[in-house]
Amino acid sequence: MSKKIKHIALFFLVSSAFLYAAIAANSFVNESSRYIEVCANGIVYVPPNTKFVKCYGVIRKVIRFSDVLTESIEDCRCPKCCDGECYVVVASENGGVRFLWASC
Amino acid sequence: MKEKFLIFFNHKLVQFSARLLLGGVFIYASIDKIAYPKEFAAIVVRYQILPEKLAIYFAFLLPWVELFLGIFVILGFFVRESALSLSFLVLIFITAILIRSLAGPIGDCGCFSITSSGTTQSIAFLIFRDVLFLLCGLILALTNKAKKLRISILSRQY
Repeated sequence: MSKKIKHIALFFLVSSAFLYAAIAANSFVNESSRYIEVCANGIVYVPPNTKFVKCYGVIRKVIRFSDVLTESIEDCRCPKCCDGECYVVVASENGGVRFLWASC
Repeated sequence: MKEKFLIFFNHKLVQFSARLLLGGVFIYASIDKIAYPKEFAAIVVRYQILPEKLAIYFAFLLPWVELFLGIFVILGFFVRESALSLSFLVLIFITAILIRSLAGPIGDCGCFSITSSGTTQSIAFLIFRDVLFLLCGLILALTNKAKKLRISILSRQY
């Protein structure tokens, strides 16, 4: 392959990567503005199929929901983290509370 | 001494191993990030080094850059340039890990697997691993430059 063809191919490859990143990032930015803020607004309802939430404005991935919390993990409340995750108290469908575990 | 160093690192087997290691690592690292771009973007945003929008853009661009540079290094296209770029990326990762570690322990660093949330990685291990990749990249970049220089000197002589 000649050097010129290599450079043209490289240019198109780089351009497409930048273009893809711009489009995908823009759609994610728009989507992230709809994520529920779970830390700053008290106890809020979070639907069970939620994949991402915001904690003090920072996007966090939802790892799991749990109904009980053991005493030993009291210090893991967001934004404090334990073993790469932290919890937030959220409202459940039946009006009670449950614990949402988010990634750190 | 310098000659011995050059001869050793210019050996075909050493060059091939370094290219396979560096390229392979970056191709492997890019796969999960390409498969789960939103999860990776959330990890990059959590580093809180770049402004949110810029961090998201970086997160969507980085895996493709890693993949292409990894492929280039293995296939032997633009080896010096690709190895230098990968070394620069590794330097950015080391800086990001150091900055993030100031704020407390790192949860999921987002280095390889995006879906393995809930694991805390040792900062010393992460830095050590990145320094190894950095050395590998620098060896490839420097020896390929030396090769070019040597060829140009030889062609001037004859």
